[in-house]
Amino acid sequence: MTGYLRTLWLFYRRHLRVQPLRELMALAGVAAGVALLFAVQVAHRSVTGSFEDIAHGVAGDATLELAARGDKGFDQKVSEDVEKMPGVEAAAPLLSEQIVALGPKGRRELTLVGATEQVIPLHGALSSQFQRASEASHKGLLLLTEPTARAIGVKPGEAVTVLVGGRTERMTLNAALGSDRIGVAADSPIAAAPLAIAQSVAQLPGRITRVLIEPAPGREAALLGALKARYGATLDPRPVDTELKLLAGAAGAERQVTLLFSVISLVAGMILAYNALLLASAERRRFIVYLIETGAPESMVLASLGFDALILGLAGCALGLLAGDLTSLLAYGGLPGYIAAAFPVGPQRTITSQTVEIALAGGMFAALAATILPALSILRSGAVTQRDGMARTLSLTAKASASQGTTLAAGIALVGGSVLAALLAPAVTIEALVGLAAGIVLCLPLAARGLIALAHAASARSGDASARLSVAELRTSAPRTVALLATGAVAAFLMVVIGGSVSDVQSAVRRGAGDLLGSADLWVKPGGAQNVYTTEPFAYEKPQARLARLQRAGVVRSVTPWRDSFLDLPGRRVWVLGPPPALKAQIAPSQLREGSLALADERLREGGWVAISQTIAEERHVRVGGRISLPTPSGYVVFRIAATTANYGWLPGAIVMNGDEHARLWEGGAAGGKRPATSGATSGPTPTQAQPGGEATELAVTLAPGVSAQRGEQLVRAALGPGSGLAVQSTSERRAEVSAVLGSTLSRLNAITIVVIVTTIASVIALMMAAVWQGRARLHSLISIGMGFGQFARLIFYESGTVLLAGCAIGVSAGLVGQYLIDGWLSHTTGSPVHYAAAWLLGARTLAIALLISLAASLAAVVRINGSQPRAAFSTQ
Amino acid sequence: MVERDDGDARTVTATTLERPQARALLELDSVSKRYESVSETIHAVEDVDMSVRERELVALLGPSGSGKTTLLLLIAGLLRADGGSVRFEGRDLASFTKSEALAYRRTKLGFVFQDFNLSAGLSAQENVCVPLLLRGVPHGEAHGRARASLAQVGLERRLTHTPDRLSGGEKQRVAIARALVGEPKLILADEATGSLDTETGDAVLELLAALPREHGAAVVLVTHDIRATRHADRVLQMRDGRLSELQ
Ligand SMILES: Nc1ncnc2c1ncn2[C@@H]1O[C@H](COP(=O)(O)OP(=O)(O)OP(=O)(O)O)[C@@H](O)[C@H]1O
Ligand SMILES: [Mg+2]
Repeated sequence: MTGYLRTLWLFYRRHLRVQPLRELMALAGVAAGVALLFAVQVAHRSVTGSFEDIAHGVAGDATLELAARGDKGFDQKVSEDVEKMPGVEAAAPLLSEQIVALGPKGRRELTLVGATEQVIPLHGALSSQFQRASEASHKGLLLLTEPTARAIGVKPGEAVTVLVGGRTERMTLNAALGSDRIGVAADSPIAAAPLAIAQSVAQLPGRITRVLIEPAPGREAALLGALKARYGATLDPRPVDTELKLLAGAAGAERQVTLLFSVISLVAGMILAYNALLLASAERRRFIVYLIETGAPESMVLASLGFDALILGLAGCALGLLAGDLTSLLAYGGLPGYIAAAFPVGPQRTITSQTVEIALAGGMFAALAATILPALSILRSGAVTQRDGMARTLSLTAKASASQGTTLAAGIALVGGSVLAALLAPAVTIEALVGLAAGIVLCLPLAARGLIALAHAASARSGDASARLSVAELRTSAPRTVALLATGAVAAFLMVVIGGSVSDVQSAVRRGAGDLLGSADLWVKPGGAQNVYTTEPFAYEKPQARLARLQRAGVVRSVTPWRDSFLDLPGRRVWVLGPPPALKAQIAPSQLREGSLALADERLREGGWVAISQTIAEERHVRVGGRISLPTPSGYVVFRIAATTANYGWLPGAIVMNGDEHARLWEGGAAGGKRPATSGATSGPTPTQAQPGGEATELAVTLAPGVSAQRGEQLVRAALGPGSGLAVQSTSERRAEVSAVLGSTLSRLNAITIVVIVTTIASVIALMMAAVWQGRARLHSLISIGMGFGQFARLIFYESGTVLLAGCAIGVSAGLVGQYLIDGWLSHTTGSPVHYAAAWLLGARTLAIALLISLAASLAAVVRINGSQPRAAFSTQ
Repeated sequence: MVERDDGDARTVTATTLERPQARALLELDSVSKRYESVSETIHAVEDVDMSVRERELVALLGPSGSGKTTLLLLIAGLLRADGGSVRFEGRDLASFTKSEALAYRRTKLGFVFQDFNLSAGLSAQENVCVPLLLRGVPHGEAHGRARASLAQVGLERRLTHTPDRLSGGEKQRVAIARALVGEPKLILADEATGSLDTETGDAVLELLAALPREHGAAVVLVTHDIRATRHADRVLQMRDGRLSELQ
């Protein structure tokens, strides 16, 4: 057995020695596929991974929970009542609050969780550890994870500034928990404190946002029913994994994008590797002939092929994982995905064993496919029985050209069918894109012939000998021409598809944000980029009073509170927008789907009406003019539907509701009926005088005429004072933040195209070097008979440039089609109005890159040939 | 198509049959070439004196590895000698600039290789055109001269054939036409019959042997084939990098 393996290893070393460049190129192809797959998977897993860790770590054995609908939570006594209910094994109160922790080195947006020792019996790894740590230190203050503490630069015992609800608090860091105690959750954006401390920090004394419930065995269903009957009007009794499902729903579109790009990446890697091996197939054929002639059994031939694939796969995977890890690091600028606004997920990368396994499986598959396909063609062509390898190659190409018409027809049919399918049924876009790519690959051999004919016609008029010789070189090595064509096409396709759809989505987001943000000059809100949907409420009485001074000084014209929040509907966490009723345009025009804009705006201002996302309306089978019941913190409220909209950049959907009505329903419920509900929300109070003591999630500031946004921003910031905990942004800053956060997933994919470019460059240069090496006798003979170095460089440049440019042009055209299809699919799945803007510029840039690559390849080739004596022309090979 | 286009100073008419005692075209004066590697130094060519006169046919024999190809490369200026001098028409190759060396190979030399080194993507005529196109001869003229050159090797009916539709002997004849088309002073042929069977090889040898007579070019014919000596004016023998004259 070891002898057998050693023989296989010897064979492999021989291939490596004979054709090192091509082995390297195949390796690069597989590695690129693996790297892309890995990076894409990491991008995806990171969205949900950290959240899952936290959710399980906190909940432990609890399977049910009672959750508040608003951010003011509910009375802590509810927890005690729940504990006494029959069928409850254990119950624990929790308070979660979004905070920003500031240290000397930086800031972090975190979810602060307040808990009592009641979480310990639930055995949640995370909550128990936090709880024990806080008990052990007897100070009972703030607990951070070690990475967070390090990032903001604080040590236990030192002070941390905490921004919460538009206020600034100072807390002492109690302990920093590392991954040795809480595992991967250490990377999560989470902080903990004893419940009482969290309540005082959040200024919610005696209130909690969740009760975790562990039912007695077999009592879960009955208990859930009882909880619904008792608390269902104002609270959400639900399985504890509900939030996870909501997150999965919110990330659903991302998951599909991820899947799409995983498939594309893998196919790309496979094509690159396949190209490399296709080039080597003539040499492999000779080797197989040699094996058979020396009497090796057929199993040995197959084992040798399999062994090649194995080595290629293993080495490719190892290299690919490294490259993928680098890429995903590169792609992560610490920007939280938009999901982070509604779920406590961090911007960190989560790498699971599953991610690695998927990448490995993909790599092995690509290696196997790339090795087996050329091998099959060798075996099937009967090369084994033929002595003369050269004659075989020729008859093989002759056979191929006979069936080329059919191949082309099949390719065109596949391209047409795929495009048509995606246009008619956007749901099958992913499959259609794979079909499109496959169809184009089928068309490439004939495209190569056409290209050569064209180049021939063009060069016939040229006086440059290099041009005519380059056409001859192209003709001499048809497989190389096809391989170069395919490499260029694949790379350009990926770049345009990804880059194009990313920018389309971003401009859709920007347009939505533009509509929404156009009504004011400055925006004041707590938190950072994570609060991109402005759902963290703060008492705006004090800031408004401070801004009133600017108003009197004639700098500020108006200050208007907005009230936004998230609301859990069955299966989706929707964004509730509460524009001030004084605002004329309640609905962003770009978002309107059905209904009359003017009428809907008027109705929203009146109150009792809402505009809902088309996706929600479809799910609930309601239309404009119909009714919908929403679970508000004050109980179920029936609204009429004034219009349907797109989703305002929040994929699960949005609801637009009169801001005053929103505040009344949410704060009324928050006070649990103790605080008097704010009066007459429907009467439309003046913009600058909302109810004292009210809460907003954002203040829209318009400046007096003649005051620049920059000057206004400075004055407003100064007026609010350093301790306000509120951020002031100009409309353009806010717009940039929105598009950065909302487009972040796709931007990450965009960064991943760097791998494609690098691989293409390596691949093309290796291809050209291999080509030059293979043809060195002929090239050396040309140099001997009087070809100058300039002529030689031009020859290689024309050769690689023509094919690469043509390949890129094919890739760019296919990419533009792909972009169109993906846009359609994105509007379909996300409900966002994504408009197609053909990525011409990107396409042009891709072609320019192709030119540069050819230039580099010719330089490399000239250096390579120049560095060796022209002896090859004089000896037989 | 026997007559070449006149007006070119280098043109030699095919009627020049007798060979007057021509002056030395090529002179090698104690030329040496070493290949250095980490483990050893190979003296591929050592202290070689040699001269080739105009229109002379010199056969160069020698066992494998004796330095014959190295010597050709030195003569072509594709390798630089470590010692001694190579002079062509009285000029030392070492004094050539890059472009002069290129012009030397383009206008004075012709090459015939063992493996033909034809471009598979070009027809016979286009292959023969290549040296002319490389030195900027307009394409119409180049085609005309290529056709004439192919006619001289008896391939006027194979103009449009690509190498894969030519026999081995025909391929080598195309290669000879390519070497001739630039009207060189010296043709360097390295194992020109090495890839051909005896009969075809003989025909190619005849063709090469006729070059001095019919085209006024001197020929250095590197070969293993003792039959080549029949046609040669002189026979040189290489052994371990050293040159000696037979006969
Ligand atoms: N680039 C090189 N580096 C090192 N040694 C070399 C190199 N090229 C040739 N040699 C050695 O120089 C010697 C002469 O080689 P050369 O090719 O000139 O021989 P040859 O007479 O043409 O042989 P053959 O009849 O087999 O073609 C040989 O021993 C060869 O191994
Ligand atoms: Mg030799």
